[in-house]
Amino acid sequence: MGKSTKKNNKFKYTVKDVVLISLMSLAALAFSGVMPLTLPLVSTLFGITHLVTCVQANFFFTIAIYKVKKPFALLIMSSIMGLIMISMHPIMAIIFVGPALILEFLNYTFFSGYKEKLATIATVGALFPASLLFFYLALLIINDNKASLINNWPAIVIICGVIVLSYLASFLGVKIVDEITRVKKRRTKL
Amino acid sequence: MNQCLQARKPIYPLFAIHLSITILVFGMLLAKTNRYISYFLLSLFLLFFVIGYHKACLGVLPFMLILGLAFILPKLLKSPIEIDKTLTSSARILSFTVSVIPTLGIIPIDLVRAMRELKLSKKLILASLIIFNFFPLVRGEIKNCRLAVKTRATKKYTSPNILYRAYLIPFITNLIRISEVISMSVETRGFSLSKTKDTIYKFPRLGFKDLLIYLFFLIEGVVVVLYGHGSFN
Repeated sequence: MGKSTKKNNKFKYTVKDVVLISLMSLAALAFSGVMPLTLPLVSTLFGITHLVTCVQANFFFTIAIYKVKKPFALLIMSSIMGLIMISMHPIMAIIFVGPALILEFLNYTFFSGYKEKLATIATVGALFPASLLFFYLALLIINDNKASLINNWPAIVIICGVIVLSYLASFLGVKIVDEITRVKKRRTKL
Repeated sequence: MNQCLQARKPIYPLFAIHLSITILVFGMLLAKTNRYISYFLLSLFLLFFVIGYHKACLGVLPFMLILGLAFILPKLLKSPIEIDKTLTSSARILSFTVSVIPTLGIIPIDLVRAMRELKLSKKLILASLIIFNFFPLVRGEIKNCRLAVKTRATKKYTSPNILYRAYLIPFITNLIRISEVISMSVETRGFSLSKTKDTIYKFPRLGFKDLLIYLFFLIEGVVVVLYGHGSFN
């Protein structure tokens, strides 16, 4: 197999990959269904929507990305999520797709894909904290009063919560995939 | 999508999806005009109910009530004077739920055929096919997991360890298995992501009735938006 063919295979998505990615992004969306219920609190608590969705989204994203192990998987999944979020607010889509684009670039330069555990956890876990940062910047750009909410003490708790929960969910996702593959290997040996 | 929500005689699938997007956009534009948005959404709901989408309408109704109340109640309890702002946010979410109705009524295979006819990307078609079959699949899997937990007579259902072992791992394993089964079944039926020529033998027909319904909804939306914005300014 030539070098160029190998490189093409690295980027080429099979039917199985497309199905798994779409299934997992839909699962993430379905389990993030609690988010609209927190919208009345958005004007009082900074980042509450991120806090209630980070666990589910990161968990399913990690599982799909760690199984597929192909570059740009995070970008595709966050774009699927962003497509749905456009209906709520266009900025919500931007604050999801923007960080994913930057994280994909960083992942490709430092880890060159999602082959390693650390690469997956570090990249996927950083999506929601980065999205929170984008959210703050977007609020500053559009001169929204909600940006001042970051000065309140609950905002600090929420930001810390988002970071911790995101990485925890990513770790759990990787752990589950490892467990499933271990069981599969054991079965094939028998 | 769930088969029991499908319309008896659904309109052309691509028209239905376009209608959903248009209703959502019109809903967002009208959200601040409380009177017009309520007329618009109510008329759409009743029209969909009459033209054969009654199952989808009834399926959406509980979500409308729950989401509508979830938006209205906390804000009303906090500041009853700011009722206008409260109604704006609930109008947005209600327009989203109404916009889903035409898409719920689509027969998935008709959508795939219509998309192939337009020579859209195969990846997009595959993803949309999965979207339409996802929710019944997940509901079935959750039921299976619950049944498994019950048959093992697990009492501490709320314990995190049991939730992880008996609920989360089987659920994820089943999701991965489903994705493998779907991809295998799709591939064995001749579906491939490569640029191979394929023949479609049956097309969903675009009838005069479809065009009429589509235009009626579109014109109604445009008229209400124009009136609504006139009164708002």
